[in-house]
Amino acid sequence: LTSGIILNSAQQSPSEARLELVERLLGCEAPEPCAQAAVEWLAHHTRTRASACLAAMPEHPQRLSVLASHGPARAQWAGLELDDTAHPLAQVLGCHQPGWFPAGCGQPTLPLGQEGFFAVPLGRQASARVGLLLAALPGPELPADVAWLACCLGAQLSRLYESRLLQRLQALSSEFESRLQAVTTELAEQNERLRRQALQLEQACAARSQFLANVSHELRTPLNAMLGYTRMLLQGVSGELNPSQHRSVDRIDSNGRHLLQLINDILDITRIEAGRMPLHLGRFPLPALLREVLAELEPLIARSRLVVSVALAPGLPRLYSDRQKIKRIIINLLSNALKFTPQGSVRVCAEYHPAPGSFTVSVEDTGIGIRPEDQERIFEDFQQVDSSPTRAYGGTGLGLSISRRLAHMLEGRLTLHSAPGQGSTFTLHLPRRMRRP
Amino acid sequence: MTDTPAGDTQPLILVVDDYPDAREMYADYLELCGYRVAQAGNGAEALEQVHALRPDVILMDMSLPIMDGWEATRRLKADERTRAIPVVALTGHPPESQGQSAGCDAYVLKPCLPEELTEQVQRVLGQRRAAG
Repeated sequence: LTSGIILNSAQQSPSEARLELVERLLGCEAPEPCAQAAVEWLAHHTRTRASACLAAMPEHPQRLSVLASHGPARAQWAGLELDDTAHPLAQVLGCHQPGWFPAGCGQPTLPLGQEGFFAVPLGRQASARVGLLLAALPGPELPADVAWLACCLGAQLSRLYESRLLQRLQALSSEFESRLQAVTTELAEQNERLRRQALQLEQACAARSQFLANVSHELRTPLNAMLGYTRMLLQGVSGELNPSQHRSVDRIDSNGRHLLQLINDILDITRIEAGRMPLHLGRFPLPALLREVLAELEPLIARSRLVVSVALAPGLPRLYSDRQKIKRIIINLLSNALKFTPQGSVRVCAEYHPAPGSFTVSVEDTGIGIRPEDQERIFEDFQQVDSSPTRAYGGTGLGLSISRRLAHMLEGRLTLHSAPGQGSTFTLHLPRRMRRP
Repeated sequence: MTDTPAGDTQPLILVVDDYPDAREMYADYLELCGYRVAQAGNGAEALEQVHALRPDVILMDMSLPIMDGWEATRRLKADERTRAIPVVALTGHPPESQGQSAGCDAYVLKPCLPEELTEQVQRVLGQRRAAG
C-alpha cells in the first residue's frame, strides 16, 4: 500500500484534517450525515475521484444501500442483498479485506462509474457487515488516509448502528410491554367476569336445588296423607270395600306410589347434581349384598317366572365403597331385566379383575334388547325406548339415569351391550377401593 | 291390622305434626289399633302436652313451626322428668351425625304409612317394657 499524496486544499496539516473529521463524525447522530462527511472528506483530502458509502440499517439488516456518494456514483443503485454471496462486493465483505475492482469490470452491478475502485469493509471484524466504503482511485494501491477513514467511519457507523438497534429494541420492548399489559388487564377482567359468573351460577344452582328440595317436601306431605288414608281404606278401616271400590282405591294407591317414586327420584337427581348426596363408605363383601338384592326382589322374580341365577367368581375380595348405593344400582338393573324380559332367564355375574383392581357386576337378560341408536338415550332422564305416555312398561324412567350418576359418584361406570331380540347386558364397573372424595 | 294392647290403661301416644291431615291420620290409625292418642301441632305445644299428660311414646315430626322437633326433643331429653319417654322422630332426612340426633330413640323416614309408624311404636314400647 502507498502512503498516498494528500491534497490539502484547506491548508491544514494532515493531523488537523483527521482531527476535524473525527470531531465531525462524533457529532453525527445519524449514519447519513456521517457517510456524507466521510465522502466529502475523501474528496477534499485524498485523490479519490468518486466515492460511495454503503451501509445496512437496522430496518433492513440484510441489505446495503447507498448512504452518501460523491462524484459519478450511481445514485439509483438498488443496493446489495447480503445473501447474494455471488456478488463481487459481498465477497469483499466475506473476506474482511479491501478489494480492488479494475476499471470497467462488473458493470452495472457496481455503484461506481467507469473507473477502478477499492471496496473497503467498514466496521470491526465481528460487525464487518455494517457496510462498505467504495473509493475510485487511479491505481490498485489503497492510500493510508482512505484506510484510516474506513476504520473511523466503520467504528462510528457501528456505534450508530448499535444504538439505533438498541432504540429499536427498546421501542419493540416497550410496545411488547404495553401489549402484554393490555393482555394481562384483559385477562384479569375476563377472570373476574368468569369468577362472578361462576359465583352467580353456583348461587343459582344452589337456589334451584333448594327450591326443588322444598318442592318435593311440599309435594310429599299431602301425598303422604293421601297414601295413608288410601291404605287405611284398603285395610277396611272404614268398613269392607266392595270389589269395584277396592279396585278403584287400589289404583289410587298404585298411582300415588308411582308419583311418590317420581318425586323421590327427582329429589335424588337434584341432590346428586348439587353434590349433596352424602357418601357412606365402608368395607363389605359383595356376595351378601347380592343375596339381599335377590331377597328384596323375590316377589318380582316369582311373578316373572324367569330363571334367575347368580354367578360369583371365586375368591372375591371385599369392596370399599358405598354399600347402599351399589345395592340401589343393582336393584335397578335387576328389576329392569325382570321387567323387560318376557321369557328366558336373567343372570347376575360378579367378578374381580386384579390388574386394574376393579369389580364388575353384570346383569344379563334374554329380553327384548335395545337398538344401538337407543342405547345412549335410555340413560337420559325420563327416557325409555318407548317414552310415550301409553308405554307398555311402567317405571319412572329415571332409574338408569340415577344409576349412572350413582356409578360416577362411586368412581365407576355403567355400560351396556345389547341388540334387539338378543337381550341386554348392563355392567357396573367399580374400583375395589374408592379414593375418598 | 295390629293387635290391640291389653289392659285398662292402654299406652298413650302423643302425635306431633303441623300438617293436620297427617297428624289425624296417624291418630286415627293408632286409636284403631287400641292406643290412646293426644295431638300437638308444634314443638312448644308438644312440651306442654308432655308435661301435662306424660305420654308413653312421642311421635315427633321434625320440621315444625314455632319450635322444631329437634329442639323440642333436645329439651325433653335434657329434663329428668321427661328423659325416659321414647321419642320416635318422623323426618324427611335421617340425621348424618350423632350431634344432630338430639337424642331421638328411633327414626321413621317420611313419607310413612300409618301401619309402619304403628310398628315402630310397638317396637319402642316393647324395648321399654324389656328395659324396665
